[in-house]
Amino acid sequence: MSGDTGPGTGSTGNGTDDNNTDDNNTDDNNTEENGTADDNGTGGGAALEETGDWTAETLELLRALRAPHRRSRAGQIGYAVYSFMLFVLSWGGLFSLGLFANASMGANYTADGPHLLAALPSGVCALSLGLMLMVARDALWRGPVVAPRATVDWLLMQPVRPGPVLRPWLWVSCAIAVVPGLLAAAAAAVALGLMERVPFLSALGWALVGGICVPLLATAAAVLVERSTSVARWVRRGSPVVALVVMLLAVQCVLAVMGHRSTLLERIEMWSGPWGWSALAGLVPTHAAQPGGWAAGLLLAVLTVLALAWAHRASAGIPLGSLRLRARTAAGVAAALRTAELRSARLVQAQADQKGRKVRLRIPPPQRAALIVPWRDLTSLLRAPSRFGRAVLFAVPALLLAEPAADARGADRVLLTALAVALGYLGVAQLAEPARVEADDPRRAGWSPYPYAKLMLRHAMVPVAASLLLMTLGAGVASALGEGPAVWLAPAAALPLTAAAMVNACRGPSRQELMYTPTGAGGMGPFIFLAWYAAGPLTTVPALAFALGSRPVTAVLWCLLISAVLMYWSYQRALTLSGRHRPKD
Amino acid sequence: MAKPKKAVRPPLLALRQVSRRYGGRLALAPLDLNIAAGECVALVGHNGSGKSTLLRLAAGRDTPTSGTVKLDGEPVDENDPRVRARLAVVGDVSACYPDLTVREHLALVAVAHGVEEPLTWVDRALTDRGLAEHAEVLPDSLSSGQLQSLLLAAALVRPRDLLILDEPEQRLDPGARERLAALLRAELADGVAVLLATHHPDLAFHVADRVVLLEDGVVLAQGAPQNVLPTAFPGSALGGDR
Repeated sequence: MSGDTGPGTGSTGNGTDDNNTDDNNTDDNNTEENGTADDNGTGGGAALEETGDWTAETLELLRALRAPHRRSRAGQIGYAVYSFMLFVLSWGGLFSLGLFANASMGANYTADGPHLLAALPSGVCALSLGLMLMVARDALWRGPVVAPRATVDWLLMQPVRPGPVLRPWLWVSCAIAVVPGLLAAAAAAVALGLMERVPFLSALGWALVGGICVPLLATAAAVLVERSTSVARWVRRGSPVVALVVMLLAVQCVLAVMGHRSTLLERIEMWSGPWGWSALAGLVPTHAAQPGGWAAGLLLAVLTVLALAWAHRASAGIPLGSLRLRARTAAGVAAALRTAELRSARLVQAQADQKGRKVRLRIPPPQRAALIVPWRDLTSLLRAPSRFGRAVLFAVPALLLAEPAADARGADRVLLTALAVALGYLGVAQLAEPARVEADDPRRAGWSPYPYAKLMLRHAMVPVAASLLLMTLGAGVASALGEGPAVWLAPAAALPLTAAAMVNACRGPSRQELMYTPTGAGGMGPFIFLAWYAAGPLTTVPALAFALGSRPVTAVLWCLLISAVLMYWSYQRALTLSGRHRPKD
Repeated sequence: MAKPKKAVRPPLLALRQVSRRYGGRLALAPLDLNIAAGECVALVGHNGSGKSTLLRLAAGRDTPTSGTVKLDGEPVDENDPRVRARLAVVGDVSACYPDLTVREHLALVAVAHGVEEPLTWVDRALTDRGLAEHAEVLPDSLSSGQLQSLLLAAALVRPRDLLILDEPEQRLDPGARERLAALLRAELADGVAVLLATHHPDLAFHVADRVVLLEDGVVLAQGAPQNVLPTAFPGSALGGDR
């Protein structure tokens, strides 16, 4: 160790420094008290016994130094929690109390009770599995254990035990994850109480088993994703399959409400894993209770406790490299969100998620200059096949809704068509990503032989072709499966939907100043920002919801007209973006 | 009668056939490198030549595709607190606590390493790095050069056997660069091994015992600074005594 220029330690160091035996003994005791088996091995307390463990002293100093910051932070968090509780109690609580009061005075809400019970098995499975998928995906770039950058760059770079530093972040994540579970359990208990006349406390108690255990179990599993690159790889690979299963469960839930149930399939799903055990537990107080429901609840609770115990231990062993990357990504996403740069936030997250991904697919560049933009867009899309997957995921429910929308009348027809169009837009918009990348920074177009606005129009070629193909194939499959002729309007709708995606793509960098636009009607800034941000879908969805309600030929003509108007609009937006037309302030 | 042999210092840091690939790209071809206590090795080369990759491997922040990196015979892994206790790394862009002053940052590091009389060492590091008058300010108020000095100071307030620096001269003014060279010489005299990557021939000339020239991940030359630096920086005048 260094002598003159470097400080000596008071511990049993590696070098010849003086030792402070008393201090060292104290620290060993601290290690025994605080340290757990997880601190062994890399990053652990056993290793620190050789160098001296100063974790307790360091954290004590940090707590003392940051006391004012912690007080201020606690105040902010307290205010946020108070506001949230006030919102939930005043809206959800009072509303529910009102309904129960009505029920006690004779109001009957039991008409939809059988529908609710029919929806619960597959619905709860879909929600639970969807939540688990979401938390696991989140762990790919952020994770339940995400310490601030300063903690990773300063504190964890020192020879301190990571356990005491990291575990609080795990428990904060657990607490946050439980909130939606509690709300869902409360909502389920209210619904069961009103529609099935199940005693509220009994319904709440059994619903809480799933509402608490599933988020906690998902958070514990996310620690595994954060810790292990091989598990993370499996999550990345398995996500599309699980997403498809969640979607199928949701479809099954809708079919069950409509009277098409398969009790055998539901039983298999509910016993297939923790996602189903929560449904079995939730059904216990109802007359649709399944045998062994309480056992499923117990199993879920035991598994959750074991998983949390493991996560508590394992969180100390998360590699520093992983923590560093996640801290930087989370800070980047938070900074982008604070300035309403939603796309930047998404890009930062995607960048971290795709780090190290190999480029396997190469399409030979075309000989003709006119094909260079479609070549670039096709290459970009083929290198991100998940975009096609997401397009299909959104297109399928859109197509399935086409027939019910056509059969409905009045406002229901418009609403169902709007829902189908909105889902269709989300599907088609996945295919316009190359255009959005071009618009993120117009300077990127320096390579292009075309003026910027015309270049952006050329970026519409591949999305139009791909969305037409997707919707035509989808309509064909749906038609073969017995859907009515309404699904054949989907290819026609693909054109205006792609044009709407182009309008949004030509939006350019975020205009946060719109948030503060003065109006005569008070603080309308967020709404103005939203209108600018989602101009394409906000205009196209209502327009198509009405247009597709007319006769087929008229609907197709409307689609063509709306497409032309939207493409002209996106051209004008691209002109503005390129600086030839300055934005009007 | 047999000739007396020069004593060979055992290596503190030993890299054996270490290579690193990122996907299909070879970032660092297999190389051997030893650094003994009190020895300074400077890595030079263009951007993308593999200097930072080599530093990350030496610091245990990355895993080699092949080969081993050992500190006193033990594998180097930054997740091992024993390694973090002996190895000081300066260079990564570091995020500071927004509510802690410069002095408090350094005190935190000193306490985490169990330094006796930490505040004495903190004051000494602040003076050495020219940060004494900024001791009570928050890091947000520091210039990029002062922030770099803070990172260097953080390496000084703690015990270390090996100092790894990635382009430490970046953002430093000439005066601070001279202080840096003096600091590194003092470290070497005190038995600390130094591994640094630099684009500054003067720093390598005045401080390094050996210079390793890298290009596209391959060692083109290594040896005494006066032999390698003219190849690495053709046309640059290396002035003064070593």
